Amino acid sequence: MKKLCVVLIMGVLIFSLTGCSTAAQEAPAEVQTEVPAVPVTVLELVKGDEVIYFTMDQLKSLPAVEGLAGIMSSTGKITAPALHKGVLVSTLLAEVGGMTDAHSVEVVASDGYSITYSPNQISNGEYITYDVSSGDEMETIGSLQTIIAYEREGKPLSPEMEGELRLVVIGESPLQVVDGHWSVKFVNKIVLKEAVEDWVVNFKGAIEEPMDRATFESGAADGCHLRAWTDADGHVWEGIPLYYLIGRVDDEIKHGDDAFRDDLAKNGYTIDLISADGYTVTLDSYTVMRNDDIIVAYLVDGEPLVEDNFPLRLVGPELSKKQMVGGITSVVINFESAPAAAEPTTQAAGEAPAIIGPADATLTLKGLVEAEKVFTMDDLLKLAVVNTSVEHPKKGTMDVTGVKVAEILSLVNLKADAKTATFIAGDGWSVDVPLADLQACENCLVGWDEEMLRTYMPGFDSNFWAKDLVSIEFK
Amino acid sequence: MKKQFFGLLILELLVLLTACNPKEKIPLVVFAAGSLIQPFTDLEQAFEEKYPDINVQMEFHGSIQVMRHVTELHEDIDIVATADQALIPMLMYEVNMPGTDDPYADWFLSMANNRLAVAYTQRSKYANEITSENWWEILSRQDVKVGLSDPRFDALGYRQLMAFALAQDVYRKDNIFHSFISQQFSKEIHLVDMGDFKIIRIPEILETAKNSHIMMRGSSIALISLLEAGEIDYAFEYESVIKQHGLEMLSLPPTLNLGEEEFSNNYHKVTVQMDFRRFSTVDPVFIGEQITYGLTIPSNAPHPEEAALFIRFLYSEEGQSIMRRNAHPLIYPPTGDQLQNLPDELRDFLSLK
Repeated sequence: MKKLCVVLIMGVLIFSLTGCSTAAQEAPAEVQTEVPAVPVTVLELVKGDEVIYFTMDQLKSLPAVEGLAGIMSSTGKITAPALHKGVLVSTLLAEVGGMTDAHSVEVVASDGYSITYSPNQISNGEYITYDVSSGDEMETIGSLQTIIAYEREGKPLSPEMEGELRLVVIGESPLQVVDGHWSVKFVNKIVLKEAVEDWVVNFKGAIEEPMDRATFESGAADGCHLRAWTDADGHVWEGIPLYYLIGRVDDEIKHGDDAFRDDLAKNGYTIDLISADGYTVTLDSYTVMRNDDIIVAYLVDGEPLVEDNFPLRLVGPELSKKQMVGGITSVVINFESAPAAAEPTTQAAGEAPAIIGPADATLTLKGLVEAEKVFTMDDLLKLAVVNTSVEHPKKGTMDVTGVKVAEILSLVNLKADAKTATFIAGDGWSVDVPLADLQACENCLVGWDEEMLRTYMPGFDSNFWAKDLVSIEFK
Repeated sequence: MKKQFFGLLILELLVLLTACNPKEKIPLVVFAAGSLIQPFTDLEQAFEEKYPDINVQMEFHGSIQVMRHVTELHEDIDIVATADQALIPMLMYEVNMPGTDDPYADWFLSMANNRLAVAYTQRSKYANEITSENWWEILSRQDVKVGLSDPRFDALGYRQLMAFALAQDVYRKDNIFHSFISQQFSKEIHLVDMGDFKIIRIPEILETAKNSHIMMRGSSIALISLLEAGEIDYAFEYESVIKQHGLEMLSLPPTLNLGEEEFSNNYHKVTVQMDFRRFSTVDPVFIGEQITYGLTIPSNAPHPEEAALFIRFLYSEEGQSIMRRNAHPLIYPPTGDQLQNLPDELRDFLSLK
C-alpha cells in the first residue's frame, strides 16, 4: 500500500508539474493536402499613375539589408534594438525612377494612417538617435538606413501585431534607438510624391499682398471660396473667383462679406492679370464684380498647374481663350478711372455709399421718444453706411445702400412704453412693426435709392419694405 | 497513518495547484499624454496599493499618438487621457470600431486645464532679460536655442504655434510669427491671415533647416532633458510640467496662454491645419481653444469595470490630492461631453446627470 501511495504521489506530482509547464506542446502532425499558394500582394508602390505591386517573394528577391532597429516612444519608453532584415526604401523607389530632393515619400499603413519622410531621411538616414539605456540624445553611431522590414531576428513579422511589413530605421550599433513615430507598422503602400512647389503671386490694389500658395489654398478650401469649371475637353479647373481675390486688396478689409467693395467696382476700375512673360489680360470691374464664373485656377483635374500655366491661370465660361492667361505672376487693380474711390473715404464711420440718395430727403423719429429727431441725408451719411445685398421676399437679391436701423434707434431715447414702430411714407401710407422685432433685426436698414428713402427689411414680408419713408413713429 | 498520509497528499496537491495558478493581476492599460507622466505615475502607485489585484500599465505618448494607438492600431486600451479633449470627438466619436457601427467613444470627461508657458533655466541665454512682453523677440534671436515639439505628433506642438500667431494681435506686430519661424524649416510653416482669423499650415515634411536655432522633438516632454542639459535655452511647456520639474517659468499673458476660459473667443481666432491627411478618416484641423484634457474609456476597453474604478479613484479625495500635488488640479465638479453615455457607476459616483 505504501508503495502504491508513493507511486500515486509521484504520478500526481509529474502530472501537476506537466500541467505547470508552459512549454509549447507539439500538436500531433496533421496530414495536410498541399495547396498551391496564391501570390498575395503585400506592398503597393505608387508614383503618379504608375503602380507596382509586390508579393512577399518579390520583395525578398530584391537585395536585402540587415541592421539593428530599436525605438524610443515620445515619452521615453525604449524598445531595444533587434536585428531586422528587409529592403532599403531607396531600392524600392528605384523601381519607379528613384528619389530626388524634389520628392517626398509617404508611407501608408493598412488602416490608412500615413506619415511622410523627407529625402534626407530616406537617402541619408538623418534621424535623431538616443542612448538605449538612458534615452538621452546621442551622436549617431555609424550610418542609418530606412528599410521596409519583413524579418526580425530571423523570423517573419507578426501579421497580427505589426503587419507583415514594417518601416524601421536600422543602424550598426545596439546602443542607439530612434523616435518611435518613424517606425510604421502595417505598411502596405509607399507613395513617391513630387514636392509641392511653393509660389507667390503679387496682388496690388489699395493695398499690396504677396499671396503665397498656402494663403491661396486656404481660400480655395471646400466650404470657403472654391469654384470649379469644366472646359470643353472635360478638364476640371478649380480655384477662386477673381473678385474674392480682388476683395483682399481693394481696401484694408481682406475677408468676410464686406471684403469686396461693390461701390468701388461700380465706380469702375480695371484689373491687369500679368503672366511671367509679360502677357497681360485686362478686365473691367463690371465684368468681374460678384462673378463666380471668372476663376483664378490653381488645380486642373486635381493636380497643381504646370509649365506655362504654373502657378495660376484665369479660366471660366465667359472668357475667350486669349483671356485665359496662365503663369500669372501679378494682379494689379488700376483705380485711375475712379480716383475718388481710391482716396481715403470721407465717411466718418461707414463705407462710401454705392448709391447716392436724394440730398433733400429727411427722416423724422417721433412719438414715444424723449426728443423728436430729424435726420437729413447728410446726417445719415455720417453714420455707418453699408453697401450690402439683401434678400427681398419677392424680388430676390438686391444690392442696397443704407444705415442699420439699429444704429438709428440707438440715437434716440425711446420711452419705456414704446412697443411699436410705424413706418410712414410721404403719401401717408404706413405699416406697424413690433418694436422688439425691429430691434432684433441686425440687417434691417433705412436705405435709399436715387429718389427716396426706403426701409430694407430682410426676413420681413414685402409690405414692411417701405418706399418714400419720411418718418418713424414710436407708439 | 493512512488518514494522515492522504491528508498530506491533499495538502500537497493544494499547494501545487496554488503554485500552478498564482492569482493573476488584472491588467489595466492606460494611455495618457506625456504631460501627465508625473501625476499619473503617482496615481498608478496609489491605485495599485489600494487595489493590489489590478496592475496598471501606463503608457505615455504625444496626444495625437495616443489616439493613433486606439483608433488606427486598434490596441486594447482601457483608459485614454489626452491633453486636448477635442481629439476625442474628432478621432474617437468619428471612427467606428472595425466590424461594428459603434464609435470608439461616445463620451468624455473634461479632466483638467493647463496653461502654455515658456520653460527655461538660470543658464538660458537672456534669462535675466526675458519678460511676458519681449519673450517672442528673445526666442526669435538666432543665438537662442529654442525647443519645439512637433505639431504633427503633439498637442503642445500646435498650441505653441498658436501662441505665436495670437501674439501678433496682442503685441500689434505683424511679423512675430514670421520672424520666429522663417527660414528655420526646410519647408515653411505658413501663417495665412484671413483678416478676422488666422490659419497656420503645417507642411507634411517638417525638418529644421541647417543652422536653425530651433530644435524640434516628437513631444514636449522630450524637450525637458534638453533644457536641463543646456542643449536648448527655452522650450514651450505646460505650466504643470514646468512646476513638476522645478524649471524657471515665464507665464504668458492670458490672451496667449490658452488657459483662460474668458479668452476662448480670442483663442478661436487661430486654427492649425495639417497640409496632408494623417489619419485615414479625419483631416486634422485644430481650432484654438482653452487647453482642456479629456478622459474616456474606449468602447472596446477589455476591462471597463476596472477602468471605471480607476476614474473613480482619480476623482476621489486621494486622486484629486495627487493631481493637486503635481500642480495639475482636476476640473471639479466633473464635467464633460455626452455624459448621458457615461457608465452608470461613474455617473452616479460623479453625481452627473
